[in-house]
Amino acid sequence: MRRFRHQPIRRKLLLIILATAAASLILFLIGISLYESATYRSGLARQLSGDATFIAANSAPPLAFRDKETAREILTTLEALSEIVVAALYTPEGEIFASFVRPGQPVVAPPPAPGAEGLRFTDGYLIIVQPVEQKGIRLGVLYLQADLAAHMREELKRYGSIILVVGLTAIGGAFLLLRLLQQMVSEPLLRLAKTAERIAAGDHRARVPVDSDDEIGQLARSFNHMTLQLANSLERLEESRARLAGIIGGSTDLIAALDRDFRFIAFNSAYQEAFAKIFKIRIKEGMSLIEVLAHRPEEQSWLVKTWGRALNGEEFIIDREFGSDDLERRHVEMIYSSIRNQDGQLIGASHIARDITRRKQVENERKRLIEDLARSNRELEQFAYVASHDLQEPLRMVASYLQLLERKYRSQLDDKAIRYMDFAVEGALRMQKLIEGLLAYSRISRRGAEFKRIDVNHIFAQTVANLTAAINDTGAVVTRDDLPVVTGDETQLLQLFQNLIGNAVKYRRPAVPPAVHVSVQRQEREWVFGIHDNGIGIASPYYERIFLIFQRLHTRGEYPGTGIGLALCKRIVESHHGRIWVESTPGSGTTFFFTIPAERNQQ
Amino acid sequence: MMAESFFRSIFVQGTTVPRLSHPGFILWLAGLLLLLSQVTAPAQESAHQLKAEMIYNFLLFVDWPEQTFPEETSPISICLLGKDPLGEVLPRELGDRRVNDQPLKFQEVGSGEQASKCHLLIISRSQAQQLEEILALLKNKPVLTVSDIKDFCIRGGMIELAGEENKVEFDLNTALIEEAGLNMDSGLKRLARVVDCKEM
Repeated sequence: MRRFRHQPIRRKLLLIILATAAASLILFLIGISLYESATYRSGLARQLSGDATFIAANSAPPLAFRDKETAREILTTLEALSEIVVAALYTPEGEIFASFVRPGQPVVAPPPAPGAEGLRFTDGYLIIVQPVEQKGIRLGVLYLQADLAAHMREELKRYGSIILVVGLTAIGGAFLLLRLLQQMVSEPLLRLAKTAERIAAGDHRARVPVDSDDEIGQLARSFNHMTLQLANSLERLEESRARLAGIIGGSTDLIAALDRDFRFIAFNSAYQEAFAKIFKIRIKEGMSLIEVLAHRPEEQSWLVKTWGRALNGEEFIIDREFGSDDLERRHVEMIYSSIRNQDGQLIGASHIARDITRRKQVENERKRLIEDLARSNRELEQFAYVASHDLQEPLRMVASYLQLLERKYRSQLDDKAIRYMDFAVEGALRMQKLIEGLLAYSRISRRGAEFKRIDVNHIFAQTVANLTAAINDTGAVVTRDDLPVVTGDETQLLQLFQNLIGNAVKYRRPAVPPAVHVSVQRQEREWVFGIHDNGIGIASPYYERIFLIFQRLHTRGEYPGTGIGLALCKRIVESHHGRIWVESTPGSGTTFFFTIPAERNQQ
Repeated sequence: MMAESFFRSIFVQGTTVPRLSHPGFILWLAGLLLLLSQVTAPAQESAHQLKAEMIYNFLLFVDWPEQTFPEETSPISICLLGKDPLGEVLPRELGDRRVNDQPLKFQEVGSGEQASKCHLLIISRSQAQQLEEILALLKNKPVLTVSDIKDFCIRGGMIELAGEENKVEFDLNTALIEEAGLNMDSGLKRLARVVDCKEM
């Protein structure tokens, strides 16, 4: 069976046809044999009984006259009956009188005694023992032994010619069928196989001619379809490969991929060059990382360990400094990840190394600058605080004594002196205010109390209460939306609202009573507060400047102030992680906006 | 079927000349003669016995017309014409034998007329002179004539016993036998030395 499987189809077909023919012949023979053997025994027995009677009758005279010669002649006529192998005549006394033994068969002599009279089958032989009698006188006994098998052989010989003819016809038919089948089956298949070979050799344009609608035609069509699909996918694959190669190749990152045996599957030229620079070896695809680094055991063990992690499915990033004495130190970030096939099976690992030396340098520089800045800021704040605090005391002294001087010696001073004195007191007081403002400003950054949840409505009420005098003086109207609860420093927020509403009242247009409104609006994660007024407004070039410390747009004569207020507001908003800005139309009103982050669960 | 017709063709044509000089036959005869000579009588005696056996055999292979037997068990009459040792030997050798259910009856007859009632008539050599007359009387009568007279067959006898003391052969006058209304087994012809004397 195994040998049969490896035969070419045309030989298989031939074998099948011949086997079919042989099987039918054998079945025919078996059928004939069965039929023959069923009918033959009785037929032969009947026929031989007739023959025996006839022979017995003819043997009577020679037996009577003791003519052995004639008796033998009579028996010899049985030669024409191929079934008979032995014939013998016995005298009434039981002695063999004459016999005939067919040459070339196993039985060589008649039995010494004929045995019981009648007909019997023994060992494939039919034996007839018949008395020879004449007119009631027993003259002897006739013994006939017929070979049943001989008959079968005879029949086979007879059928032999039929079998020969049928067999030859079958073989002839087989070859004719074979030619036909070859044209219909094996030639198209061979064409298919040849096309497959051509495709395997790389010719994706190869097609099988389809010339039938049977299974082979279907096969050819499917094959062509498959080939087309294959060509398309190959094209797409090639395209994507080229695209990928372009991307990888053009990258300055060092990209490489290993299979599970640590052999290079792919790498870009940047990797190749870097590898050559560091390890003095020009790698090629298929090379083993382990072998390539045999001369650098330390690097080898590190790289094998690291790649090994990735080849075990781990994904990770490593920062590493490379460098030798003759090369400048380079900082490299290496991203290792595993490569899996469609079934999720790990087939390798990839490595992308980026030279981040410059980035690291910039980062370090920035970190240093920020630290410097923070330090100087801290020092400045400290200085401002200390300075303003220490300045307060002598200033208060100057102011107090000036006021004392004025009160006690006013009558002795002339108008000029009094005016000078007023200037001095006023200057001292202004300075005091400035110092207070500075102190407040510097305090903002030194984080005071912990942030608390504060109802801004409450802050608003407090503010309005603190500003009662100014509001009453100017006839101002201050309104508000329903304000939310925020997280913050209560004192600072009060300061913020007081400054902004105070400004709104202060910078009013002459003869126009101030109308101030506090609005709030939720925008994503923060509250946007707005303080609207109908005051003098601010020209847009000053939108930024007004938030700088000691910057004033007006003279003290027009509007008194220290120039610290809005700077303080900016500082407070920023310490609450918000922003502050201004929108204004000069001559008609200003709105200060600031944001405060909303509490997470607030609407 | 084939075999039967084949046999028939052989037996009907039956032109083979019997060969009694075959060594087996001689041996058999020699054995018989030895036995006879030892037990009873001289060589002459054994030749008579042999003849008696042959005559009995003729009874087996020849059928007479039914009307010659009043009953099925009617005896077959065997007659001897003329002086012959067989007159003594036959009753002794064949006296208690039967053919089918018919006994044998032996008698000596004085003339041809007397012999016409016989089934088988043995004519002694002593009758050689008047043989033609005897046979003429029996012409077309169902009497099987047997004799060892030389040329008996040619002179109109039916079965001529020929041969010497230890070897008996016979000639047949088939045509004559059939004319007499006797039915002879064709197998006898195979054994006869001559089948039809007239042709000789």
